[in-house]
Amino acid sequence: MGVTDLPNAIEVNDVSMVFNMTEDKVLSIKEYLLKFVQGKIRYRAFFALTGVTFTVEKGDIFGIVGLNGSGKSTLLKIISGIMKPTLGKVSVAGSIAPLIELGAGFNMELTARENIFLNASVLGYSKQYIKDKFDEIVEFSEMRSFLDVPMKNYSSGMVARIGFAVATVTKPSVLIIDEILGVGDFLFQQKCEKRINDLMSGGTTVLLVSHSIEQIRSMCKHAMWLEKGHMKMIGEASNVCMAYQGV
Amino acid sequence: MKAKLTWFALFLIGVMFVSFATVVIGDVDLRAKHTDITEKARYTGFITEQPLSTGELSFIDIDDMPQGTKYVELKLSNASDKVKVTLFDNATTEQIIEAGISNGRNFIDLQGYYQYVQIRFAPNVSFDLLNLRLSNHLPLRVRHILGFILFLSAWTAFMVFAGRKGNVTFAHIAIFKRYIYLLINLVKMDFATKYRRSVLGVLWSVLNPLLMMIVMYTVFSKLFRVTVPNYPVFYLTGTLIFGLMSEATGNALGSVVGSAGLIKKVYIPKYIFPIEKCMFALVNTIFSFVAVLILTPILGVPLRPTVLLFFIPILYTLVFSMGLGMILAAGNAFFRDIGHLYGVLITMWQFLTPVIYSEDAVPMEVRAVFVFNPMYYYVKYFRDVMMYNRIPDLRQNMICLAWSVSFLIVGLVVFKVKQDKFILYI
Repeated sequence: MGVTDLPNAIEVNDVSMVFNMTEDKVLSIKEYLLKFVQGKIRYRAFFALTGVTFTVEKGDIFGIVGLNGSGKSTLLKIISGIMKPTLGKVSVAGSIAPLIELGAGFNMELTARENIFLNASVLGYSKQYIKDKFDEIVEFSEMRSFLDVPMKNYSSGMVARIGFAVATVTKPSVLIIDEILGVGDFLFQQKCEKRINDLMSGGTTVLLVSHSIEQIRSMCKHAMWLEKGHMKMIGEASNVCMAYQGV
Repeated sequence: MKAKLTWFALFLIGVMFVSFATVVIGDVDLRAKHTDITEKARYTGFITEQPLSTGELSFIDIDDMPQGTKYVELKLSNASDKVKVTLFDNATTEQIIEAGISNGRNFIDLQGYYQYVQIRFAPNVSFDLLNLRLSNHLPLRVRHILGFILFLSAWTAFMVFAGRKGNVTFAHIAIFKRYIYLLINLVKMDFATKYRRSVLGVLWSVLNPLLMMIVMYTVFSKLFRVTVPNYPVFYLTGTLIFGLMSEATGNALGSVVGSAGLIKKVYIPKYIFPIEKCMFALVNTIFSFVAVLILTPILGVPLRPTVLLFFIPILYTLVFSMGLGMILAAGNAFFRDIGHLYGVLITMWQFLTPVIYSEDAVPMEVRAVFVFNPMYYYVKYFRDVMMYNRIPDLRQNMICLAWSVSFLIVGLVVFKVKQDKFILYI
């Protein structure tokens, strides 16, 4: 990953993800050896994704729809490098900002100020960059008066505000959004949407997963429909949404 | 440009390290002191007049050997055959060493300090003895220079190879550099959470080893009657090094499983986690070291210049712990038993390492086990520089380095091979 001169922002080439699910979870050596000797270790290969191939052009807003367990989150995790696919190849041009789960690595014992620095370094920002952008993050989250309060005293909405503010402070080449637009109150939601629109108008490629068909239809140009790990349909967002709604 | 500077700096560090290893801490010392006793020897033993030679020469006595003498240098010429020499400790008439020497300069390692030594020569060979000197170090010789050049060229070759554009090693280091700030932040966070809501805070890092030392000292010197001289310092130095290893590996063990939340949510190079735990243990150890540094002179062991080398054994132990920690962390992701078992193992390991007892108290046969215990070498090294005013020789350094580096390499490989599977098991 990280090859910048690709023509497309995201290239997913024949990706399959197989989870070897042992019939029951074996987490101790004794159990493992016993079952191994008895020949009782059985794997049930579970294909979370099968032969998924698609490309997303630079600047495109690409939606993914599908029922629960269709492999959407697995696909996003593979694209953002959290997981390695069992088969196939993924290449992403430039930097990724994964808004998959906001505030990854927040330590609730620490204050918001400390967590902003921690979370930013988890996302791979440099120290100077965070220092420069610190005020911007705080402004956006509107949490200045609670900056030195341990985060365990925050409400979930307040945590999400900080998380969103840190994750979107960069101008990434690819933004991956997984069902996060439902955070915070309606005012903050509007603010988030505005920030995302700003990013998108600046040429960022967006990969959006949502259960809200309306959102996909209104925001995306292209979309894909995943069902049980297979690509059921890919094309114009409106067409895909219509077909998906017909289920 | 910046990358080039980094490589140049790395190269310089390598050169410095190699020079340091071969010259200063090795068996070579440019400042070696040689005491020439040729003249003196002429008037002792059987020889009374020049030249100092031939088969009739049968022994030379050396009284009042200068402090720190490690080698006896004999320069021969006209030897018809290999000359068999036997050295005796004159005080106990015990044989120290037996060696065969030939023409040219011969260095005989005394392997310890003796005050009175008698050198006996085998009777049936004739030779001329040109020189008899006592040295505290070996002088710089051709093989050392050759060794240095060899090291240097190997290091240069490595740097050139690793620095080539598009090389994997280079890319790895670049990625690592990007995450150094995260590493620092994680250590800070661990540190902050460790002392949150404690009144004394950081002071505990200094107090803890202090209090432990008092307990151990009372138990072992009052109840069990340990006869090791300067036992408190002895225990303190041993436990500092062992504590570093056990804390680092113990925490690294659970690091991957414990960071499941992060690993499942964002992409971070996973080796950050065990390494972070090792760095955290290092920070704690530095605080403990301050305690040791304060206590040592109070407990009656003066601080000597060799103390400045304290960081070498700590570094060896740290690198070793990183390697072992990665192996354990990877193993623990798949089998949680390792975590339960390790507590017992580490206790066993501590008793197999001369931390609370001295190796002299152990029977000879059992001491053979120490050879397979890297902690034995690190602890010994640390005590050498902290207590005994000794600079460990090249051999000791090489043993330590070999253990550390081989464990690091094995750890990295094991971790790299297994890391993509972690996420499926945590």
